[in-house]
Amino acid sequence: MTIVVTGMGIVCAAGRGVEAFANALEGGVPGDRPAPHLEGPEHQARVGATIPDESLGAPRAGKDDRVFQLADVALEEAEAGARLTDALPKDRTALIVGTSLGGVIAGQAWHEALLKEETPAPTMAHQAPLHVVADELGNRRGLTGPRTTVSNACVSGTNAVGLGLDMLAAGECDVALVGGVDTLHSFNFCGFATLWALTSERVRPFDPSRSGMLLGEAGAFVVMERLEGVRARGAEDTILAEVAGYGSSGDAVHITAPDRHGGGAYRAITGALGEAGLTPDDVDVVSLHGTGTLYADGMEAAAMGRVFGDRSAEVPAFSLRPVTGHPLAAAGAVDTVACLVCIQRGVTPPTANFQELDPDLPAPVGIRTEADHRPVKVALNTSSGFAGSNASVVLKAWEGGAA
Amino acid sequence: MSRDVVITGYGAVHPHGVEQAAFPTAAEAGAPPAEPRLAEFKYKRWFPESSKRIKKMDMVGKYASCSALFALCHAGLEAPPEPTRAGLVTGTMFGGLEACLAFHSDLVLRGADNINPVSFPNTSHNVPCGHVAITLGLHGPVTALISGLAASHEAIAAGTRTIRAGRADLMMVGGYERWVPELEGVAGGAHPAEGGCFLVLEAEEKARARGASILGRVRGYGQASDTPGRCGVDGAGVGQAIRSALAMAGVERPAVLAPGLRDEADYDEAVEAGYRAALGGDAGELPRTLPKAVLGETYGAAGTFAVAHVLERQAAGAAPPGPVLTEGYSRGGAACALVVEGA
Repeated sequence: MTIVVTGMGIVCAAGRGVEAFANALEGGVPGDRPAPHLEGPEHQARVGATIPDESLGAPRAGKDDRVFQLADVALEEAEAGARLTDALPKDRTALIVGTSLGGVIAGQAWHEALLKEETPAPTMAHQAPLHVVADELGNRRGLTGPRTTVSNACVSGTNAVGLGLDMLAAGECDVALVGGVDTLHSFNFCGFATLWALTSERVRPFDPSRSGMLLGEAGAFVVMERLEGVRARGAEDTILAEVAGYGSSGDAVHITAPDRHGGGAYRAITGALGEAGLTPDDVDVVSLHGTGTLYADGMEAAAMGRVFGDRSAEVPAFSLRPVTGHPLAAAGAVDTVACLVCIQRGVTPPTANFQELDPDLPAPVGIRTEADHRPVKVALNTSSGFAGSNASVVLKAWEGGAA
Repeated sequence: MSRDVVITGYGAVHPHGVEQAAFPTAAEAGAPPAEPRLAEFKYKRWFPESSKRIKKMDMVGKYASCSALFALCHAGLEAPPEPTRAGLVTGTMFGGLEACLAFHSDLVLRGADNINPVSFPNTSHNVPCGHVAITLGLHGPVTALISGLAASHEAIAAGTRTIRAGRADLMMVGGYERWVPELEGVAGGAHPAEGGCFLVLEAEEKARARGASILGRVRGYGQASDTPGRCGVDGAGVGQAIRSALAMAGVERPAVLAPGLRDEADYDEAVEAGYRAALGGDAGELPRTLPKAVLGETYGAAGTFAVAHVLERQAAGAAPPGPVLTEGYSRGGAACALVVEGA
């Protein structure tokens, strides 16, 4: 069975829409900005890959929390690309949302009131659970199909793609709206800062001078469908790529530190390639998670070495974290959109801020300083996160062909 | 690949008891626990070593790790037979809420420079999931779901899907919750209860090949959702989820219903309406067992608790044999129904 992507949408530090994102990706435009509104320890520079308010437009009337707005903006663009705006088969559309923080803003307001010994309305607490994002998106569209929320840290958005793939393959839905969203807030900023995981300089994945992560915020969605369904509705021209394979794994090594041998990421990547019926030699570009921390980048380099052997430096690879920051659960969805852009534009992107490859990495990685224009037939997205989770997706250029 | 998925073990940590004993104790008590929290939990019996990991593990991580360990032992395994073919899906509603509140209290009351950094990692809702993977040595597919009251029902569905898709041969599926006093009055449910409950799902051919005792099977699952305002009106989401689960199971009329009624009039009416919508007006005449009447409201863990409960009831002859229908329904609208059957 062939599962394809027919729409994509994104809002991130690069702005609103795939076009703005693709330009920043191709141009290697850093997305870090001063973020004085964030609370954090004194040692930490207040910087984040935040989304300028003017990119979002005016919030709708009512309970338009930022997290809903980011998700809705991205999903609307993805639906439009698939020509499914106001045309979703409501009872046959699955909605799968990855998020780490969900309604954190409402949740903090509720808890702060409790701490001040006030009596907050229970409805404030009801806006705090993570599933409120999927509920809001589903309700706005009147969707009655399967609805799921994934919270598997930084891997959530990639897990969502895998869940959508399986639901479509099993015939549980005809359309899967799949993505991730997280906002940048004092809660996560301060949390990662107390762990000394954030940089106070520029984020430089795989560079010897790398000194930590840049947090960001984003919403990103894709529309996935079975090929036969796309053909039946006469929308084959909307196909962006085939979702050829998915793999997932647990490191089962440590909660906060990655497996330094890259074992978990290796299993996820080879699982995805195997499912796609492809070998490492078929891969044209790799979107790495590339957080810019010492050990996480080392883990990914180790995995690249295990997957690609002595070709690991030749396979073009990039990290989007300088452009979008690390938008937590949205990262996997953002990077999936990046892979689609690589395929659509025929580009292998640079990694912004990158100057030179860390010679102490366990294996060399093909990070570039300039974009390279060449056909991309197979793009691999790999995500790894907190608690030792990994997931990978293989996207293949669509060249027509038989179902 | 279409494979039959069987249940070969389950284990729990619950105010009524631990390991498998939680279930007969609950049935004997005939009532939910008086207090949401476990009076005590002597986890060191199962984690005698004193590693940094265990020291940093919070209660919800301990509930998840221990209940998963109990389930694997119940399946007659000390470790997964093939670690890379063994994975994990968890479901929770509140996840790392206790750590989130502790961290946020520090931020508000003591300021950003005086936060105890130890609390932050545990705010990530999938950390108990990671602890289970480490504790049991699971190297296969890992996913963590957080879909309210339907979360561990969805975990069972996702674990079944993963085995059927051929990505794994064994999936640990479970739910976990830690009760915090701040939830009083806002979480709903007449009798809150914390804990963890895991099931061992295996591809039937693999389970048989290793001579495992088969305790039951997952025959079908279905997911759907409601648009707002439906709760207490027509239970459309629950009804659709049930219809899908029955269709997948090839079952027209289940032998037993195990609805997730929680003593809240509007919610319970929506659930009942869903059963009537899918099974007809006489759905109320089918034999029933009510998991939450003896286990209390375990929120995102309610799905795995319900399935273990019905397997126990059927094995004890306290519920008729045959397919059992149960459901999880988030007030936000997500619904997931399951058809399971004791061996």
